[in-house]
Amino acid sequence: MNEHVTDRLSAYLDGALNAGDLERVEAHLEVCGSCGRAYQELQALQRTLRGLPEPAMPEGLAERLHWRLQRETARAPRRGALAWFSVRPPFRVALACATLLLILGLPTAWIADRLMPRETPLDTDAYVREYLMLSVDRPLGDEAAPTFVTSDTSTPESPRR
Amino acid sequence: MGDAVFALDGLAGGTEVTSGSADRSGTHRLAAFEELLHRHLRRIHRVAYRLAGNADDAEDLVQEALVEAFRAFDRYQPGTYFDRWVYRIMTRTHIDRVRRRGRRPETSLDAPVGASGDALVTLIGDTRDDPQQLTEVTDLDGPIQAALDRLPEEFKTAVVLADVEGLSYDEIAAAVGCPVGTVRSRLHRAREMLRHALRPHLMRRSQE
Repeated sequence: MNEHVTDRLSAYLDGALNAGDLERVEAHLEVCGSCGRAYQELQALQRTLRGLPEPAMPEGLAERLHWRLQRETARAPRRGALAWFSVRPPFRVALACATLLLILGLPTAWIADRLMPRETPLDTDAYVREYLMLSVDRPLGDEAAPTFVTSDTSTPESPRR
Repeated sequence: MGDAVFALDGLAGGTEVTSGSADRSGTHRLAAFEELLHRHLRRIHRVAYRLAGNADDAEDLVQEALVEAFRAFDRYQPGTYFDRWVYRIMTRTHIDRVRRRGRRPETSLDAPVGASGDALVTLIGDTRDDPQQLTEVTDLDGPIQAALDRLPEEFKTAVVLADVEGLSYDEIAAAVGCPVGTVRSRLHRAREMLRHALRPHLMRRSQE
């Protein structure tokens, strides 16, 4: 009961104490002159703050606000999503087509890629077999090979014989 | 909405919002915003004045906060308190402005409060022996506004919204974006600081 309740007086002033604290504070205020004076000062402070004179509105504030907000309105459409409307009509059509292509084209390409039959991977053995079958009529040692090999033995710097 | 286009009170020549410089939706948006503003501007200005501490800074704060509010107007829910929604933006704007100026308290805001509040008096300045000290700081509302101006901004915001505007803990918590417990703690500390700084003034007042 002797413990001061200064730290509860602000909430007591606002009627924001729970039942237990409220009972404790009220009981203490009846016997403690120091806390009683503090509470009276808090009440006086609140009355003073509530009674502060109304500050005069600056002359022309409403007008200045109006023009500032109107300027903001004029600027606003060029920002964000509304920037679309600042694009000239011919470019707007082109931009719309490009966007549509992107939106529709990409999923379509992806789906087509998934659904269409894929090419089988290169079968090396089959390729060699086919080459050998085709090469039966034309043996590897044909006349072009030696010509190619011999003509390539000289270096560019050495004179041809 | 169509007839919401109106002229603000005090406009020279009753200038109206027209569609000359903005598209129709922008004009309607501006008209709807100004219609709400027309009803709440006085309260908004009052809070700005108490936070900023003087007429020039208050107007700058009002303009900056309202431009921010107008940009975010799509997020305002019709039917809710417009002024409280603006307070939320304005308190943030105010803290940002103070930070830009580098005017921040050097003590921890949420440190435990001493029983006597002497540490707080050190921060705010004790005027018990020199009441004139406060009145010399500003000639607007004498010692009260000067004492408010010496509070850390978070404390000042809490006490202005609670004791000048009469907002509840929940409303203040929503406005400043912190838990209700923090609001309660900041209010307690702000009032203790003010009570110590303004004691001679309050003692006279409590005897009236």
